[in-house]
Amino acid sequence: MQREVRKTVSVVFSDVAGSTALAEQLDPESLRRAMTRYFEVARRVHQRHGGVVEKFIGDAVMAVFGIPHVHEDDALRAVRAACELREEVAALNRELERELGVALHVRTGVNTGLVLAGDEQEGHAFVGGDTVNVAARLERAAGAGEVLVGEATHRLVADAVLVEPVAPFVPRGKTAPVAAFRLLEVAWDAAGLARRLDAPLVGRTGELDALDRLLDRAAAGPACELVTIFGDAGVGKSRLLRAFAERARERALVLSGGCPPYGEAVAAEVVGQLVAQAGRAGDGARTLGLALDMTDPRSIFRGVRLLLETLARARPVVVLLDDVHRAEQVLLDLVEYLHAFAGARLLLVVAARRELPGRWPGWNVRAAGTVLDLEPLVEAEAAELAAGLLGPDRLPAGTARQVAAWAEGNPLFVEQLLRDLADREDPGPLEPGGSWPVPPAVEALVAVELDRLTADERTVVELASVVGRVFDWRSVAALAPAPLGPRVVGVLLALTRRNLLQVADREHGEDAFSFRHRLLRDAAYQAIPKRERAILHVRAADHLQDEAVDHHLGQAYRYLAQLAGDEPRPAPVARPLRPGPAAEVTA
Amino acid sequence: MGASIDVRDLARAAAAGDQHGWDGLVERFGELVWSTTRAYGLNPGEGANAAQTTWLLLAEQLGHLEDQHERLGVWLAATARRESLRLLGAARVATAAPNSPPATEPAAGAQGREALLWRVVRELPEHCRRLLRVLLTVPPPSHEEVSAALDLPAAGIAAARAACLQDFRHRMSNFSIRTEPEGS
Repeated sequence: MQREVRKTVSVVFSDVAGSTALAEQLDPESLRRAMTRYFEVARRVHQRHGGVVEKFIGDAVMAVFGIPHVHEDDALRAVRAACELREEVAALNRELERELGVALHVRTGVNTGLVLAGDEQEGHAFVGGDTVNVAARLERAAGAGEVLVGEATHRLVADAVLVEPVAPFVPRGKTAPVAAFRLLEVAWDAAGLARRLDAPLVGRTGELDALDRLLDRAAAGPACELVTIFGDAGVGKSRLLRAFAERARERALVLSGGCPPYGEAVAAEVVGQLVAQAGRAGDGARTLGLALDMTDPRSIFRGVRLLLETLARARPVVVLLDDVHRAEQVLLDLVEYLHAFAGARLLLVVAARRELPGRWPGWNVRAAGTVLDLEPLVEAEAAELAAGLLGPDRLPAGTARQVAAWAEGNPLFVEQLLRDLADREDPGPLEPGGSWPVPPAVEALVAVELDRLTADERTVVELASVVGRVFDWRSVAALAPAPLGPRVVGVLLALTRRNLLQVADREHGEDAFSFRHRLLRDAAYQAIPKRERAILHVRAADHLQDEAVDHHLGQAYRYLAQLAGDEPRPAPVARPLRPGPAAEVTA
Repeated sequence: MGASIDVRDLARAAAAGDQHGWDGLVERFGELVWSTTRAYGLNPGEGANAAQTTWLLLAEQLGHLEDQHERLGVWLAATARRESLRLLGAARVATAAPNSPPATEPAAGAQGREALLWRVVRELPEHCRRLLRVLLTVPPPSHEEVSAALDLPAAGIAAARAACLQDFRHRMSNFSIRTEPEGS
């Protein structure tokens, strides 16, 4: 089976300005050493943020964020790496100036876009195309020491960066200008796009009541209580934690920690956050924040327990741990240890995506304590949330309902779609639309879920996506390559346990699955190269009996015709003069 | 799903000078107008001209087309066909290859399967390529709209579609490219 996939990555392209002049100044041997040190710095910086240095081209370095695996924050990682590279080169320059009397002037371009990524087992070589070209073009447009960021990247990191716009330019071979921004600063602790945790909480009264009761139980003893909140990305875990913290503060001391998206010693950082808050809360805590060597649990587990127990003597303690799916095993060990050994008046609340049990096989349901499954909002609640975010003046009820339906109850998707719409449209009420483009941040989240699949799982999911949002597993088995056929149902059930798929309502047939979210199906489908899509549709037509046959043949033809050079529609037609009596001439 | 009602609303709003109404019409029918011009073998530049003229004509006449609001897609398809034919000139119509098969062979490096797949499309009869080009537009046009775009009787479209798709399927199997995926 082909393993090429279309995926969105971020590319950092850096080059040394004036390297020819440098070559004249320096002995070739010295130049070589200086460049080698620069390359080492670049490689280290990119790796630290999860990037892969794809190639060195002359003096240029191209790093890719998103291969072999995509992360939801690849764009932010790329921008952080570009910024850090600039700082590290400045430090390197101080050494070079001292030793050789020269300095390197590095220009950098960052861009995000679609690439066709090759098989990771074959060294993840990939065809860059436009995305890489634009990154390189941004690099050439940058001044010495500058980082220019493309528009697509900027849209994904807007809340974490300080930029100033530069004049748009037209890349070679293109007609449309590309917007670009000069990167001034990156906030190291900010998310690329801030969540609206200030939005009014909608729904979730049942979950809040359940948490209240658990706190009652913990407060009454005899032992500590643990609850794990499982939910998909964006479903509202953090928002729920925040709402519960506000309530619980009336009768308990609340400590909260969150796992950063990446980095070393995540667990130590989380424990550090808790200890710092505890230190502000009570005297007994001050002594503990000394050496947080999480590699040696002996030095810390008992200390944390004694600290929490000491605090709990004064009043109940609630510990909130967010994004625990990102944590190292040792943090889960700590949670499990506390649950097993800590005394009364302590409630541990852990929030994680559903992938957590899969990532740490030892961490099973028993270890999770009480489990709260956070489901998507029902449509009316999601519409209420949407109206609350934007206000009824901008978001008429009809549009709010459409937004809710589009998001299928995921609050983050609602938030991101509204942000996109509000940015794009003129001020004024947002009209009902239909075919809204998927916001890039949502696209990234969905891509991460698919990217984490094994090769077989990925194949099965792609075949299913050709059949449709809802599919009979036998159709997928019929499409699967021979050795995979008998295993298809097992793979589908495993994906159902992870909530990527769900068992479809009986009305769709006896043996039907469905993708959890329409966007998952769409993303899986769009990741298949068009040529393969066409072939799969023809094969689907061969295996199916009903009216779906013509649909599949039509799709197959459409993709082949596109590949055979059929032009896509050019940019929307120019707006003619406004028709009608209220006509107002606009240029 | 009440598409005609939506279109009436959009048309009324656009006629009253509402930009959102106009944008809604362009979103709904932009692909239909474009694929009609492409079906007649206009090159992308000519196609863009024909499409632009079609929309300009709509902007001029929208106020007087109230009785047509429900069938605006048909009006647009017919206008796009007329504009395409006008640009082509009657002489070229007879010989023009619909959907203008690209002048170039597949990009260098594309061989084997790729080239075969490409031939399947290129060698499909002209009337099929023309029909499928318009029929497979997103959102799917009504048979009346296809009929107006291609000047075909609406009643025969379903049968013609089925025949063309079967022809396509037959060619795909002839090139034996629909068997098992590569490698696996």
